[in-house]
Amino acid sequence: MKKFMITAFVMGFLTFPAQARHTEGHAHDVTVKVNGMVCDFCAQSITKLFMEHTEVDKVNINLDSKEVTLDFKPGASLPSEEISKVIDFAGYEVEDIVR
Amino acid sequence: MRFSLLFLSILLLPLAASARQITYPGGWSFMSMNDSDMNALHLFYSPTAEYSIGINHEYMRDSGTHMDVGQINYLVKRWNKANSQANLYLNAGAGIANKSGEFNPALYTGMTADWENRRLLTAYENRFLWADDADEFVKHKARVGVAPYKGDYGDIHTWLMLQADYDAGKDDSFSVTPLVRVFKGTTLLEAGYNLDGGILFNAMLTF
Repeated sequence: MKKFMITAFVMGFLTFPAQARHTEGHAHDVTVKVNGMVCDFCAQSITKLFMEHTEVDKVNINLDSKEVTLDFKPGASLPSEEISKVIDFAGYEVEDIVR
Repeated sequence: MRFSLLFLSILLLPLAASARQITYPGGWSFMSMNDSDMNALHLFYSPTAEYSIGINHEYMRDSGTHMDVGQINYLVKRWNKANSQANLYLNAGAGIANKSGEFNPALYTGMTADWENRRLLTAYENRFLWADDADEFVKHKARVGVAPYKGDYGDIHTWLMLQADYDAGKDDSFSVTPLVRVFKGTTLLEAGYNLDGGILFNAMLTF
C-alpha cells in the first residue's frame, strides 16, 4: 500500500507540470471559423497578421475545418472585435468565434 | 547583356520569389512569368489586401519589344464562402516600350476572375495592350485545375492544370498548355509544355 502511494505521488508530481501547461495553454485559446480560407496562401496571410500582435503566442491552422486557433501569451488575449478586424484586413470573413 | 540579366534573374527567382499580384497587407510579391510569347518580371507591394502597386519588365518575343511599366492591381470583389473563394481583379499599367532602340508609350489594362476550393480551380484573364508602333494585342487566358490530394497547412500543394490562350492577332491564335503547379510556404512554381512545343515556367514568391 505504501509502495503504491509513493508511486502514485511520484507519478502525479511528474505529470503535474505538463498538465498545468496544458490547462494554461487551452485557457487562452480562441477558435475562429473563417470563410474563404481555402488555401495555404490564405492561411499564411492570416498567420502573419495575427503574429504581429504581441498578445498572440501561436497560430494554428486547420484547412479542413477552416479554423484558426489562437494561443495567447499568459494573461493576454484579443477581443473578438480585434480578431474580426484582423481577418477582415487579411481579406477574409469571420463565420464564428468560439472562446 | 540585358537578356542575360533577365535570364539570370529568372534562374534566381525560385530562391527569392512570390504568389499573387495582391498579397497580404504589407506584403511583397515577386514573379517571373515565362512562356512562348514573353518573359516577364513583376515586383508588387500590397498596402492592403485590396490593391497593390508595382513594376514590370516584359520582353515580348513576337515583336522583339522590351517594356518597363508601373502597374496597379485592384481587387474589385471577393466572395468568401465556407468552402470556396472567388475574386474579381482589375489591373492597369503605363510605361515605356522599347523596340529596336525606339521608345514608345505603353498602356495596358486587364481583368482577372477566379474561383477555387481545395480541389478545383478555374480562372479567366484578359489583357489589352497598346504600345504605339511597338506592339498591340488583346489576349485571353483561361485555366482549369484539379488538386490530386488535399494538402494541409504547410504541406506541398500540387495542382494539375490546363491553360488555354487566345490571341486573335497571331497566326496560331489558340493554344493549350498542360501544366503542373507546386506550392509550398511562400514559393509557387509552375511548369508546362505547350502542345505547339512552347515551354511555360512561372515562379512566384511572397515575403
